Amino acid sequence: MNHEPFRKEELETLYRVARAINTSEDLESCFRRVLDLLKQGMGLERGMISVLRRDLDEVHLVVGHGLSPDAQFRGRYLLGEGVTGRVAKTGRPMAFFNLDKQPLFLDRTGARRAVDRTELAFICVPIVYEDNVVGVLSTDKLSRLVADLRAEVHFLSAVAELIARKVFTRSVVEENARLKELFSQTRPLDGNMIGNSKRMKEINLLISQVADSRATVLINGETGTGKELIAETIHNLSSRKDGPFVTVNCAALPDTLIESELFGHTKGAYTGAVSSSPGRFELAEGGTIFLDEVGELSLLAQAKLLRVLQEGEIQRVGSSKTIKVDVRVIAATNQDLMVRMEQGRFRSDLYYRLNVFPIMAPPLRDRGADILLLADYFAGKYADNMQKSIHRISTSAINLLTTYHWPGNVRELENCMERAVLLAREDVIDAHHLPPTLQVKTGPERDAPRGELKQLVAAYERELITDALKASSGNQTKAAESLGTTKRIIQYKISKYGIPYSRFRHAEPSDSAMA
Amino acid sequence: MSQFPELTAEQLEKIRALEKELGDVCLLAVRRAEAMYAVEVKIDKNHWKPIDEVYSEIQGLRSYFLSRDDAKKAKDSLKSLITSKAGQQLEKRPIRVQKLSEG
Repeated sequence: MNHEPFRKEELETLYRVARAINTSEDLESCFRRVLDLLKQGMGLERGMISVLRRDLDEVHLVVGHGLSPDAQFRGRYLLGEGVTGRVAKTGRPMAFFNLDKQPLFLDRTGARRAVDRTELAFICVPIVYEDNVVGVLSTDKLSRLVADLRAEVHFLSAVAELIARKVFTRSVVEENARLKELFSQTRPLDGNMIGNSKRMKEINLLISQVADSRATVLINGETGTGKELIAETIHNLSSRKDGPFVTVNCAALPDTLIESELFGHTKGAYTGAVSSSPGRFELAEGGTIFLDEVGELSLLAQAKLLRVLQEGEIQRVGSSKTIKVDVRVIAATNQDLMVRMEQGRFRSDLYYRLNVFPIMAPPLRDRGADILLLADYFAGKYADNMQKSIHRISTSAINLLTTYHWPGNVRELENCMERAVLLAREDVIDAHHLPPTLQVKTGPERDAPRGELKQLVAAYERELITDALKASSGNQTKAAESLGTTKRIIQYKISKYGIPYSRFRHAEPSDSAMA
Repeated sequence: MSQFPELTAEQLEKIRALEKELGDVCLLAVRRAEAMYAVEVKIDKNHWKPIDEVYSEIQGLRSYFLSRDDAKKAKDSLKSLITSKAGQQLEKRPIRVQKLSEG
């Protein structure tokens, strides 16, 4: 549609709006300033800027000219509801000469209760950023001052275009806050269980279901998957949390000692038993005992353990006296106990006693979504320990972390991040800080054809430029400086590789990979 | 075109004397600044003009600033206006911030 060119005063207001949004003020003050300018320059009153919340399908008022916080809070519309909601839904502007005749107009904020609505024109336009509606801008104007409603819509659309990036930033800031909240909710159990993957959510659910019961739990999983952490979480969530949590690594104890270690011994029970000593079961009285690598127990020890589980009583080595114990048992193994049972190396009755509530700790390769969360967590943990300032994990490092098959699971990832933090000279963890095992062909995904040198160089170049742009918040000049090249070359490469550099503008340099 | 003349001490003295003669009149405002910055638009090769002269259709446009930051903000604001749909009626040209003088 052809429009008349903007008049001088309109261009002046638009320039002033452009200046207002180029300030370093906070977003709300900036929006307020824009609405002030619309009133002063163009007589557009009761301006409102709302942001689209896609997660709720609602439009929320962010700044309303002359509105109290209460009134502002009421300015929430479902998509399609009222004029604001409809404009947000359709992405098309709406304008009326006489506000009073508009049944769609809800006036939820109550801003126009005290004014004669028959004299008011209302103009409402979508705020569009990169082809998506991100918000709505609306204002009133005295009808008698409106010569051409289409021209008013045209002008307000120009304002909306100028403020679109800021409104988008505002929605990103809100989304960021929501994600942070969500992230904090992903570790509600005791602050140690990190993960937002489907598998971890299932584990969290199982833990919360079993924690407050007395049921024996058998945790099965590969080495380094966090079996002990799961056991500790169960203990901390149970009513026994104030009691002791005693860990026994059954594989580390020789057959001759395990019985004495678990159940204690009396003075003179065997050579060297110079005094009576309580076993781990007695030490765990009123709490939880965690039997790690339970599959390694000898058949004799298995029989004694079965008695504790069945009767709730133990006998110290060298004593005929039975001692009642109130201990919850959580066992873990990385072996297939069914197979060991078939081989006659694990008692079936003990297996069924232990396997009351089985939990399968998933390997890290099945928790793809958690790798970065965990990497961030460990990077932060070791950066604190080593008093370093690590702000980011580079794209190339992220690629290595996410494509590796992690045979050592979370333990391996933790060690890997500890090493990376130690080696990092600046505030970024790069691919070359990761151990060589991650850099070589290991997983099946790395057997894919690797392409020609030209393609590989191009991929590496793209990564380098993306990293530099992230570090400079999308500033091409700074990115060019950091790579020791010219802005012109960077611009050419951005266009060649289609790097979405504008996305990095809204994020602080430290936000690109850290949670 | 707006210009900032460089005056000698004698010339300044003559102007001050003329001001006294005329009465309550200020002919010359002197401000000592470390530098002044102009926001300019490229008209032709090696030919730049202050923005207020080129984009005279925008009222209230200032071309001269005492700080580089202010000049840069003015340049960025003008660029975002010109590159938006609203700026289609304004001719798109290179814009620069130029340091004018040192005190």
